[in-house]
Amino acid sequence: MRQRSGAIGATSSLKVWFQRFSFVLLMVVAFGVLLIGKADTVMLSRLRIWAADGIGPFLYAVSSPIETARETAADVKSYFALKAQVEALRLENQALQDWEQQARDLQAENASLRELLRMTPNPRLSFISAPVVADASSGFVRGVIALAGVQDGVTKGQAAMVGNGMVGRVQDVGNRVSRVMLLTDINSRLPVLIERTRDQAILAGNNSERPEVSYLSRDADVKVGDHVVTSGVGGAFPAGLPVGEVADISDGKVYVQPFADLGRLEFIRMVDYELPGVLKDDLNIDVSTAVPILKPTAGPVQLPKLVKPAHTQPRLKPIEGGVE
Amino acid sequence: MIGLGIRHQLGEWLRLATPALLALLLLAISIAPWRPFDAPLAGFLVIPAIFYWSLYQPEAMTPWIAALIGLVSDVLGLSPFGLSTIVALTVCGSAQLWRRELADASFILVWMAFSATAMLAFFVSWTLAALVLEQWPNPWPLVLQTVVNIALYPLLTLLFGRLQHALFE
Repeated sequence: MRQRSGAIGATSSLKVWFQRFSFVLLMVVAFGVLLIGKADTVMLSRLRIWAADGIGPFLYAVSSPIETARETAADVKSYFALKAQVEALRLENQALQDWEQQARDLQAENASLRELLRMTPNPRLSFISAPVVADASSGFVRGVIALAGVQDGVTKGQAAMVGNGMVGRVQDVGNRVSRVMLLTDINSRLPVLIERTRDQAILAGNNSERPEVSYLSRDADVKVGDHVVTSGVGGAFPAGLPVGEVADISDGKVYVQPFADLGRLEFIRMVDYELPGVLKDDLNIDVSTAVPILKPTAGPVQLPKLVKPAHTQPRLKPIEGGVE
Repeated sequence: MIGLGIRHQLGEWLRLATPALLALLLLAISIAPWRPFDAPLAGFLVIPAIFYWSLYQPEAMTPWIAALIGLVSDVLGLSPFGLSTIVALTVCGSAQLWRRELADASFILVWMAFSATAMLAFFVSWTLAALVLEQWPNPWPLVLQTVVNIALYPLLTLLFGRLQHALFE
């Protein structure tokens, strides 16, 4: 077997030489691409979304049967727990009915108070729902690809949510698909607010399950269990979207557990929101990239506190500059 | 006659392309939104596929094909751009380097060689990612990916072996 005639041996060694050469060549090119990729992110994100646009339907075709199998397994499991589930749902329904009544009362009260204060209504929100077709989360990035794009009204920078909380933001949009950067991604920076204390901060992803709160003022009194919501600073997202709760405070660092189960995203909703007439239209500024301006040069700084809700401020006292 | 010739040629190409297509299918399955082992493991089945076919059917997994598979995962956004290509080439190169020694070796030995390759891939991707991201990325998803790949290699060998038997022997 090992003995070969001269001609075949020469072809074979030529083949080996070509293979080694192409291996080295490809390695060099790949390293070059790695360097270029670090420098030119705009071109890369275009390339990526263009490719994702093309294979989106294929990814959907692959993910659908897997999704169905997972759902069937869950169905079989829940079938055996049906009785207990019905009882739990009955109780939950009762509680929800009480809540609904309370919500109606509060809505009416809120409307009359707004009327009294002549407050301008909040900008309206609408949602675009989309199935998640790929979970491109690895050791380096946390992101998903959803089957909704420009043709469905998705734009770059929109907030992505599930029922109980924020998931991330739209990073790139193609015609049919969009890439969503999860709030756990190492590049994710989200302006947030500790709901109880009204302290503002930035929620920074770190590629772990629990993103970290940074730029929190030193005297902020944050406790485990505090809810974290979007602050609306920067204008990219509406204020008050639920994000998560403080799960751990150690070594002066505050970690947040997102409400949304980011490992099990089936459907997400993009929040279609625009402050009417602000920044985007008037100054032609892309507000989705406005956040990094907040980054200070060194050490934590105290961000301006949010204006307190209108009912705690006497109407006659003018609010100067919108900060305390 | 000519029609038959083209058909034969097409069949031959398809036969050679099957391992690469299988690797791409495994890639698509690994990024379906189902999170196996409840961890971010996108792209985790690709390394065993590249290793196996580079070792046993190198004409169907040349460095060019391995680089192409790596490029697809780069384009899908699973890592800093270019990193998956480098890792795919590393795995392919490592398998082809040991090809002669492992040709008649026992499975345990091949498995050990694969484990070493998977660990090499881990170190390459982790250090390069640190250079690109300018901070040490969380190693645990990568460690888990390496462990899962090593643990699943015998099962995948069984599957790939059947396919290889049907296609190439």
